[in-house]
Amino acid sequence: MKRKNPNPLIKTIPIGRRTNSPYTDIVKIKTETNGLNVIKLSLILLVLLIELALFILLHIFLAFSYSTILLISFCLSVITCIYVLSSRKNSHSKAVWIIFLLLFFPVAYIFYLMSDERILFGVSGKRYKRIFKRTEKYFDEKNAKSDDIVVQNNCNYLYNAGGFTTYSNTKVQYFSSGASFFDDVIERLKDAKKYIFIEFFIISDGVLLKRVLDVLTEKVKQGVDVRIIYDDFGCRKALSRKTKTKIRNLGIKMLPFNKLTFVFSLILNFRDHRKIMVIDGQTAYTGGCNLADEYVNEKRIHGYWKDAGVRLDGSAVDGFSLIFLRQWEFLNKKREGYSKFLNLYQNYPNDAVVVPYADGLDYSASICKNVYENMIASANKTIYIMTPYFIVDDAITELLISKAISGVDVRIVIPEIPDKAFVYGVTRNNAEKLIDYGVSVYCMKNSFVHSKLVLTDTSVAIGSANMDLRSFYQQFECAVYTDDKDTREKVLQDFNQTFKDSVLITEKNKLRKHVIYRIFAGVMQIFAPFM
Amino acid sequence: MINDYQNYDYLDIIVKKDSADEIALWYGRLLWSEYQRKEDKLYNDIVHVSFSRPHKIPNKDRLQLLQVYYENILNEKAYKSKDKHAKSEALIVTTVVLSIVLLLGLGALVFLVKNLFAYLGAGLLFGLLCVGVACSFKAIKKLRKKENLNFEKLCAKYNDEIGKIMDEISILTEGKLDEKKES
Repeated sequence: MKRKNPNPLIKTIPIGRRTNSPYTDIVKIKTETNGLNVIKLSLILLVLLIELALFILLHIFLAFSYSTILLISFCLSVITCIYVLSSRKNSHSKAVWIIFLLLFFPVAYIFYLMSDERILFGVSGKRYKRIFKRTEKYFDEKNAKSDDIVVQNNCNYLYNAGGFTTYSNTKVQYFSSGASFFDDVIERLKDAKKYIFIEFFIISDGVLLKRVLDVLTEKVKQGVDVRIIYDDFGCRKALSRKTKTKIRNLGIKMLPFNKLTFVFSLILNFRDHRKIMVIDGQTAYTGGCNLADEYVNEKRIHGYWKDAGVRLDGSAVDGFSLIFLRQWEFLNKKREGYSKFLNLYQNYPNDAVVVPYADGLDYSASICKNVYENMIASANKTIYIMTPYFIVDDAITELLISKAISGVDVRIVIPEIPDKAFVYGVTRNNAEKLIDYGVSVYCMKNSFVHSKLVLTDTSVAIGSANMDLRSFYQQFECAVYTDDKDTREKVLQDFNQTFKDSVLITEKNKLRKHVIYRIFAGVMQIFAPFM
Repeated sequence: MINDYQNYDYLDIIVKKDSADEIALWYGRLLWSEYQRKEDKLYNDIVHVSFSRPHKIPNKDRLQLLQVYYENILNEKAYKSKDKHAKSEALIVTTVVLSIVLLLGLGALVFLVKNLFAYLGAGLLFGLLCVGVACSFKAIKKLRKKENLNFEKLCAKYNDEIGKIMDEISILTEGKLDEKKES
């Protein structure tokens, strides 16, 4: 006679066939790794490595077989070193390149020429310039003014360096987590009537994408123009071909940025890291969150995922519409009138200035870096930074040190749980060096901090740009700069709560006290410009 | 089961069987409702538990962070429990191995060098070895006592942290637990 199962929820399996588990953990969260397109990515990497190896071997063979070629290679390497010294790269990158050029002189200069954005990006750069010239008329020449001279100077910089208009009459809403950010996004998407622009570094299969696609499917049926830009490298393991086909079949226009190819080129290093959403020209969103489950803590990969975002309603939305449309035109290679997408906003009475801005190889200056530098340099009381990576050049390091020594309250929040161990090693090393000068460094407990926030006495910058050389020099980024008091207050509350949830790094618990760690971090620092 | 992702969040965990009920209760305080529990196909001491909860709940971000804290404390406690006698066990192993090596060495000495001095020397060394082993076991006993005390202090610290987390959860989910029971 069969024994009745007392608990129908538990399926019984013969015990004799099973053993005790090797896990010590009492609780493990099941998390899926998509593993999508791994084969394709591996193939691309393999082909690229083979191409690279053949190229190097051929060149070295020629150089060492014919002494003339070796001599010419050496001369070209020296010339390239002089070229690097005269370039606008940061000093760290220059030093690394010069060491590389001289150590590997038979072939290194070719690598440099293949990576220099002025050479590699030449054709694309010209196309961007044409688009910018044609569309600069859409940026409002009438800039709003701030009473605060420091804020006004930053706005002047953004206008002069990138043509970014300073707006007012814009409502700004801050979100201190990815979950609350996307809940608001989904609700707002349901009211879309004309168009939806979406631009993300990562769009990933999962629960969040399902929620968003459910809404977008309805919107497309209602005749809303939905456009998506995604970074091909960012989505390599996250967005399956099946999902891309499904999205396109829905009637949504989707374009990849800098598609991964089998041809070896260091231009593959330049990625679109922006996070922008624009709805009907009335609402815009930006921040640190990508369209993936881990950003809303529906998938656990690095502890608790801390992120931030901002919503704009009002005239400043046009700033983001223009940034998106320019990128769309560049990728689509078709001209389009922008007028129908602009001036659709509702004005909100607010004197605060709001400047949406962008950065990338389409701009000659390193706008995000310079905005951060200007904010730090002009701060007299408070500098709070929240960033997943802290790999900066001497300019920002020296500024932070001098501010801390002058008595300014300088605090940096970085993650406790890293996503990339090597990058984290350099991040911790750079941050801990500043402790000696009075900078407070916090690691948020059991969390991966993905927010990119800078808060100073009167203003705040929220966006996609990390505090690292990759964001400053190699990636397309975007952000919002504002002196809105409510927003600044909410960001300050977020920082204060985060400080309570963090561990303060001191002499006792810093990693730099271990010699082996210092050696490791020193070696990794060589590769910092590429991290 | 077809998941309603628009209105609900879902969570799947793997948990030690002897702690499953307690942990399921704890997740319940975070407004998760258990809807499935399955035995693992390979291991007999773990179960797979699935939960769901409404997508929109107040203070969700804070609850998610507290959940991560609690899980980490539980797992840290488990790791510390596994390694709580690491030093004393290492000392035991070292003592035993050294004793065996020395005994073999003494035995070889006695076997190879067959004279009175060798026997006297071996006997003396054996005596010293016995004293050494006795002292070592006394030290191990003391160390073990100290390790148990340290572990108790650590457990008290973890329990204290868990208590604080529970208190905060109670405040954040005030009223919502009753609603959940009614539904």
